[in-house]
Amino acid sequence: MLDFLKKLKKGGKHHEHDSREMRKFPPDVMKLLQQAGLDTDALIFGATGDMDIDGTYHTLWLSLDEKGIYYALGDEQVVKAKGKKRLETKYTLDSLRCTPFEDYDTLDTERNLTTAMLIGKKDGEDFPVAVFSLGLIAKFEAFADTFNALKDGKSPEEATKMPPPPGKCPKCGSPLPPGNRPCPKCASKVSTFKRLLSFFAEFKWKVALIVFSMLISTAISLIIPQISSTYLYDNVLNTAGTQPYETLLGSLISVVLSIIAIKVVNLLFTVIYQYIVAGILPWIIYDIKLKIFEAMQRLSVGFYSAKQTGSLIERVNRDSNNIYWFFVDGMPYLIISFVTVLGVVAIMFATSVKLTLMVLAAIPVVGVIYYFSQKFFRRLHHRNWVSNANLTSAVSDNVNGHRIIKAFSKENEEFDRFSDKSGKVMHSEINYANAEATIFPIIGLIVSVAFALLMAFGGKMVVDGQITLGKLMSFVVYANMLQSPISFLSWVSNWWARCADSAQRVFEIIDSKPDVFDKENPIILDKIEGNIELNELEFEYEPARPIIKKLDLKVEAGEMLGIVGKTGAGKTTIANLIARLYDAKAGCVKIDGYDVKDLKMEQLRTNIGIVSQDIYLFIGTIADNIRYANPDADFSMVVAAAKAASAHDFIMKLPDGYETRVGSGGQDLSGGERQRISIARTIIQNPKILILDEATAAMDTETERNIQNSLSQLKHGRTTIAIAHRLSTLRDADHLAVIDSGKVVEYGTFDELIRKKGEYFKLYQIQSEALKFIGIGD
Amino acid sequence: MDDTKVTQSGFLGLEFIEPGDCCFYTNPHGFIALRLNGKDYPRVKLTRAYPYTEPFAYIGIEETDDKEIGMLKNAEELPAEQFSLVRKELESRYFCPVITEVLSFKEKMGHFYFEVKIGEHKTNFAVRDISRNVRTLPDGTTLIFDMDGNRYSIPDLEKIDSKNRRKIEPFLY
Repeated sequence: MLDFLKKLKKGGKHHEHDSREMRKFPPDVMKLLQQAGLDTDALIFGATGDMDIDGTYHTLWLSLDEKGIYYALGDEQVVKAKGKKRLETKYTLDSLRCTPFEDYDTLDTERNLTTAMLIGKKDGEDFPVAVFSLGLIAKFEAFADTFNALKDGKSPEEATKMPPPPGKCPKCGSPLPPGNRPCPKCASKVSTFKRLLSFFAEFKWKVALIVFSMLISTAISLIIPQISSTYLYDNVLNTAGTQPYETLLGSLISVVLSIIAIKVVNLLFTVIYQYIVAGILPWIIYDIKLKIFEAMQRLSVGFYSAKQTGSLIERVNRDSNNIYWFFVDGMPYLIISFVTVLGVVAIMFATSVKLTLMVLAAIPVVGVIYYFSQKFFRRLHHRNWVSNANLTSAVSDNVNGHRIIKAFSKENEEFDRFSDKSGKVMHSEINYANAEATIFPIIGLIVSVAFALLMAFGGKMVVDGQITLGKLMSFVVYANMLQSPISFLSWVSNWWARCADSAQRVFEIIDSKPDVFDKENPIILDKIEGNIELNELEFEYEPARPIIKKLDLKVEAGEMLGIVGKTGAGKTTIANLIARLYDAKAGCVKIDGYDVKDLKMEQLRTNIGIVSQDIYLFIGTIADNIRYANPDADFSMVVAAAKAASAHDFIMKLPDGYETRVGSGGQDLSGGERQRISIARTIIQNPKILILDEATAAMDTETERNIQNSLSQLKHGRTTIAIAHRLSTLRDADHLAVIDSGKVVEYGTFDELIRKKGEYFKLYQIQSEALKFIGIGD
Repeated sequence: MDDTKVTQSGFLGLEFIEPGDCCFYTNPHGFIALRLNGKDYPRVKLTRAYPYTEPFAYIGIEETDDKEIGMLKNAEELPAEQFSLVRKELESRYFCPVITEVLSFKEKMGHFYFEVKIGEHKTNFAVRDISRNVRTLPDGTTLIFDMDGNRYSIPDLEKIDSKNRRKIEPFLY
């Protein structure tokens, strides 16, 4: 009996281990499947879907063993278990069906708009296997890969050795955003606040001084009414008639003087804390900005393409400013308000418990009124902001499209559009002003009525002799002092929410880990020769949208390879993978026999020069831009590189020559001119591997020929990969590769490919026909 | 690219015109002309590649149709009288009036109106989009481009009277 139990335990453990390792289903589902007659121990891989084949929502447990594919359709429901606090998932199984392993040759996935499909292929025909939401595609892709691997005769262990599924947060289990960014769900606002405070740690003594001087200055402001009201009424004015005139005047002056003295001390502390705050905060903001910028430099290309440039720039500036204002304006005022409320209430209690209770009863009412009016105003304000933003975008749309507006003679319509948007802004502003004109007086009235009531009760107490007149007067002053802290406290949470939002966005960038990074102890080669080998390379920007599919390509050091192919065939992606701007999904890029992931990125990238399709010139002179890769280059090297890139002649025609300012705010250059400068920039880098990605596309044929001539001088000892649409660009290539949908479809020398009469020949014919047509072909 | 060659390091080198091979002279109409390796160019254009940092080095020599003949690495290596010819030509070609005094500086509707003294001569000009049209060179010279495309230079801003300097300074980057 005991043995049996042990076995059961062991079996249970084994089972659990399996489900984690092989990515199957929850134990309860496994049990259901077992009950339905499935040999769950033999299962190799499983994927959970959310639809049946018709697209209605059900839960689909699709699994696979060496005999076939099993479709289990059922449902899962989250229920509250009886007597337990925790939620529980209940599974039901409706049907189980099997397709023999031999029914399909391969499995593949296909994307629709919001769903995707698993498709089985047999003898060139396609069969639908499963339908599921697009978000699950990665799982089903892995499923298909496993199936295909098994078909290829691999063992189950090998077949399930797949890259890990898209990340889930280890804490909360919600899917992680792409690009190794932290889980947005787990980054709560409390921890954000703690982290923000950690920036202050360096300045903790100064912060302590700030808080101390704030407390002092608040405390002092609490004392003033004691003198200006209580003492003045009860001890000075009340004695009128009983004291000689001179004594009375003297004590009056002493009261005024002491009030002035206290005010001066108060001011002194206020100045101190404001001075320190102003001294610390810019440092902290500077720190945060540096951290964001540093993180942005570290991040890989993928991060930049996923984020809009505008939102990145805004993050660095606006978010850090949001944080700044909260800490410079909000925090001190929050502390002061809090202390003031506590202090005032304490003093009020000491003066008169009855009156205080009356005021305290009114506070929630006033607070609620403030809270709702703030909310109301925020909504109006937001509406105003939106209509203003609409107006701005309409104007910028108009200005940018002015040629088209004029060409189509649409000035009047544009005017109407503008006046419509502008009218909305006007209306929202009128609404705002009207609301302000109504609500503030109402609030004022409510508060005045409350004070009148307070005076009435207080007056009665004075008449009854319960408190003195001076005490009542100071009590009213104190009650007045509560107004602004309460209004502030009623909406500070909104302010904090905005600051926390900004801080979270900032931390998101700081915490992001680059997708492409140096491994520990990367290999540093003495010298890069320039042998390139791509082995079964696979890559995708989005799951299940493969751009490169099992691509093999080899370029010997010193050789020139030309890559041709249609738009979107994956040519640029190959260049990006060689320079390791992205990491391959599977397979590898080898340089001189080493996987690029093992090489030090800095060495790799300084030895690879890319002239890409989109050219960016930095703000600075032309010479600065050419020297970018090699700041030590002297003037003659710059000129030589520019000559090799056929840029020298146009540069010399500019009045400032090589010292012409380019980049934003500088001289306008044409596309071809910018391209030539970027070629010069790469030439001066003197890389071992030169990648020209449509580098001469924006140039006329003669300029292109000139550049080719000079590049061919540079070819010696250099591996060149040239990507082009225009076949004449690849005239000098030693070998040519034709790429189509992520695969090499043809490879060989120019003569071989022409003789083969395949894809390249077709392209060649089309282009030379076109040339013949315009009369310049042979 | 007949004047570039591949150097031993595999990098492109540049061949300059040897100062001994060329001879500048003034043609009958007063233009600068060149005899190079026995060939006469009756009129040549001299262009500075680095007009601000190297005013007398890296001088491009072009024919009147902008075709480059070659480049002089350092004009100061020429014999003295030839250098003075080249210098005179370059200085007249790259003449830029030097502002000695800013008399007034006003901003109106995004345009900046300067009233200046160039030597003893008073003049005024307007600059639009000052961030684009005022440039500070590495040696501290300030260049100003006016609306008509003229350029003026202020070699030393410190020498401009302090009242107007303070007005201009916020607009300089």
